[in-house]
Amino acid sequence: MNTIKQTLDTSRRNFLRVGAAGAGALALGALDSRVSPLSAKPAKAAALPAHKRMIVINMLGGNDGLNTLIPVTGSVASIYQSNRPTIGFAPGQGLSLTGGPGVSAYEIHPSLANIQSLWNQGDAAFVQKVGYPSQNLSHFVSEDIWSYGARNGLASLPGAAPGWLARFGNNHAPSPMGLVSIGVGRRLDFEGSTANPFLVNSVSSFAYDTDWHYSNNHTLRKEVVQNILSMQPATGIRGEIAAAAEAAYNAAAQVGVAAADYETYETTNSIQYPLRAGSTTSLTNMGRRMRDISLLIYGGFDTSVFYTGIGGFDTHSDQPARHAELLQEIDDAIGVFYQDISIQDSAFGTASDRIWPNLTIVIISEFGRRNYENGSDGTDHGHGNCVTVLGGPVNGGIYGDPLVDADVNAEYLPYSTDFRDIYRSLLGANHMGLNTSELSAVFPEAQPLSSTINVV
Amino acid sequence: MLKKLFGLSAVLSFVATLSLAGSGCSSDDKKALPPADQDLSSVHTLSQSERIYFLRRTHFAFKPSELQRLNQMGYESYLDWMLTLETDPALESQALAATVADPDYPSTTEIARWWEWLMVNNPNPFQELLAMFWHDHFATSDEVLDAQSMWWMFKHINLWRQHGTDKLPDLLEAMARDWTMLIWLDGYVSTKNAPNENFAREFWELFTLGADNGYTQADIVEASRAFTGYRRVLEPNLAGSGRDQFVMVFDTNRHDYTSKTILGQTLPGNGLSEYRDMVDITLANAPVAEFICKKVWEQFVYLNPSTTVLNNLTKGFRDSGYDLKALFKRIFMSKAFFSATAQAGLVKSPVEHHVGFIRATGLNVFVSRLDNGLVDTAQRPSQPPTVNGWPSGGFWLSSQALVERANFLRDCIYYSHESPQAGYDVGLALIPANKTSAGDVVDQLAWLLQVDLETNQRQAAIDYLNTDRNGSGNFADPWNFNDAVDRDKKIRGLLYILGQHPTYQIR
Repeated sequence: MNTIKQTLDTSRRNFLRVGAAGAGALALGALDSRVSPLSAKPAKAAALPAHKRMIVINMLGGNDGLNTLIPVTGSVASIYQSNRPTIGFAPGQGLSLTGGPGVSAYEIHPSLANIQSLWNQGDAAFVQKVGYPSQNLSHFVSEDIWSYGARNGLASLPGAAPGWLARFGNNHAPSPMGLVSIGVGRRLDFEGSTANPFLVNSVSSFAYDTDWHYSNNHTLRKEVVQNILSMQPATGIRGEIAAAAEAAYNAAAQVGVAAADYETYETTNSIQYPLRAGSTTSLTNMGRRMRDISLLIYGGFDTSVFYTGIGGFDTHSDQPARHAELLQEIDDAIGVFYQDISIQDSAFGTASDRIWPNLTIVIISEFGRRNYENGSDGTDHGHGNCVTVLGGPVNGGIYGDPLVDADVNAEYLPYSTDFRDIYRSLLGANHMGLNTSELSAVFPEAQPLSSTINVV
Repeated sequence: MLKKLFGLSAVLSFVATLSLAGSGCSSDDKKALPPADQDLSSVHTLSQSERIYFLRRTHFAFKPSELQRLNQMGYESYLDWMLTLETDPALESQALAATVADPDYPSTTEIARWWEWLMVNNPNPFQELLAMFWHDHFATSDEVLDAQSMWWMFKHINLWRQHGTDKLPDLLEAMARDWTMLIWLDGYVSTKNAPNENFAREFWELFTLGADNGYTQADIVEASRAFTGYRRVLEPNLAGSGRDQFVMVFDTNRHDYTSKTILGQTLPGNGLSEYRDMVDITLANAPVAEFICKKVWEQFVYLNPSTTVLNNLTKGFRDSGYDLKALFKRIFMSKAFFSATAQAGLVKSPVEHHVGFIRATGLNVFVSRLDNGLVDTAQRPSQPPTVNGWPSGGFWLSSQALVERANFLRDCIYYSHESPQAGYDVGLALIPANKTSAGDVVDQLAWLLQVDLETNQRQAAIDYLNTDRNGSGNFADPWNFNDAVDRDKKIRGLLYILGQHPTYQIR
């Protein structure tokens, strides 16, 4: 048995709405009645606040791990600084990790104040020297390896879905909203998913616009579209497109209801996700994406894994300003998201029922960057990297082998923890609840350096 | 890349699946494929439906007036004209006038709209579709340009528009020295003292060979030394314009003149000509022809061509001195291009979907609407998401994409220059006077959009023409072509409905 699929507790769910947002609670029946009668596969399914959730944030382009988790003591720190005379940080320039689990060997990038707070309350972990065998310096090859969860291509996954998330979702989160991706396109992580996962640019853009010239006829027209789609023989490319289009109509109806609902809650509680510089209305990419995730959680969808991220981490030049901006965008969004979830959680008396204690956030990137800075105030593609894990279930601390002189003296930071071991920890008995053989089905390929990393 | 497919992502490889139907063998097994798929010999005569298919595949959409032109010129002459990529000065200045306030200082939005305008209005739409293909392949975004260098993007896009059928080595050299590319992949900060690997890696991985295909990290380090020397300079009062703008100059002091070893060959320090040397060494020592021919084939014909087809194609391509014009002509003349496998369809990209709808219907849509529609569907020309370009195939048909496609149709149909308020009679424009019955109207619009309706779907569309809706629900409202209001409402509605048919997503 897995712990992902849980039964619905309508009363508690409604309590959440009433408790957190005041009036405006919708009974499930009312919600469902707004769903198109053509709905063959309702996207809306049973969900509890205590549903186990995971958010993957991808820093696309290769985040500079050494400037994220900065070595500040001993010879490792001096070697690091001499490798990076222009773009490196001196001890004290980063944010200290001496609170919470209490670590003095590293600091974190000065843009990461909210993550520092989570660290201080024991809800943040960093895994050092993460990678995979025979690191590849190509963004796209490396991303494929992360997406497939396989170093040796599809040959190592006989008969299984190519994407690791598809392999997880097909067995453990099989509903249409079980896997969600926001703002990162159709990632290969989802390839092979059998449930038409919900892959959107943003939740707010996921709606069929009306026209006002013939608005009554517009309603009729949309019904005719769905009727014609339902008549398409379910074979071949045409059948697949028709099924996807029908699913889109159904999901749009349900998400529209949830979005309106969330807006009321957001206004009532004065929640403001980070705005773009100079704008009073437009959210940062990361802000909008974290808000969308919160909206779907609040809406009661049964999503197990959210996948999102932002690009721009390929800092071959002008790294200091660009990197700071990007990390700031992520950290700011996480800060508001944490407040938002705390407000949602205030409706629940029992800790185990709350969202945060059942939620993990893992922040990844396809590879780290070169130990040495290049001549353009930047860094070229590298190997090993650090991975950040946040959330209520997290056992705060630093994981993986510590940095030693040889690591930073080399051109490339080596890897000693396989990225799949982190995913295993998050999917395993201590969080998502998969047992050993279920985990092996998600990551079938043998990992030479495999070890147990108990971040949760 | 082999794809195991389930659900929607199967679309991506559906064509490949078709080509293997009944065989269960790899695509390299030529015996399992119908011979027509692999036949590169020339076609002789083409049926009307084959000509329409050619236009759908290469012109964003089929348009009756273009079919007429093709019929008048004859297929081969048409191809020669289409592949010549002539620039019409009148068209070019019209495009600028319609979209750009100050060509010396264009904005990002103006650049995008300028090209989008050309896509809609160029009488040779292949010129723009091909440019988009190269722009996707050599993906470079204007997001790295500031106000004083944004005008470079005209040069950059015109490289693909004007030279997309030149000899490949010339195109590659021009690409490597293109100013926007030099910014995008850090070539302008790559110096003898601090060579930057970014461009060197992508030159092989994405532009000419594919990842880890015949080169090593050591080669990349060496190549990054060859690609050194360019520098960005602020030129005061450029060309007497009274304005300061950035230009790119080759600075011999920044170039690495020591000799390099590239793919086992010695490259002496030749300065600027090393950009061309890099192209020539790569062509002579690595399978560039295979990489490029496969990409072209998959864009215009079908996915996963067999090695038989590729070997045949690459031999001709090499023998011609890498003449792209000859390559395209050979492909479009081939029986394989007209084979059932090829005609089974490829998924439209957003650009093909959006521009095609405007061209096919002749609606006079604001270019700003088109631009917004392409931003929403994540394929704004001039802004590819990464150096790897845009996704392709079934990856374009996420739930989100289908919603956005429907919304774009709605924008075109109801909020264009020719919206109901503008008094444009869409029915009179699109429906011939002798084909005004409900059945004829459905058939005419389905033909125009090249939508393939099942019998019951056709009936549902006819029923739509005989129905309307008010506040209390549907009511019978028999189709009457002569009722101008009803005609406008329902023909626009039918365009919206047919545009969401699954076959409209296929080119």
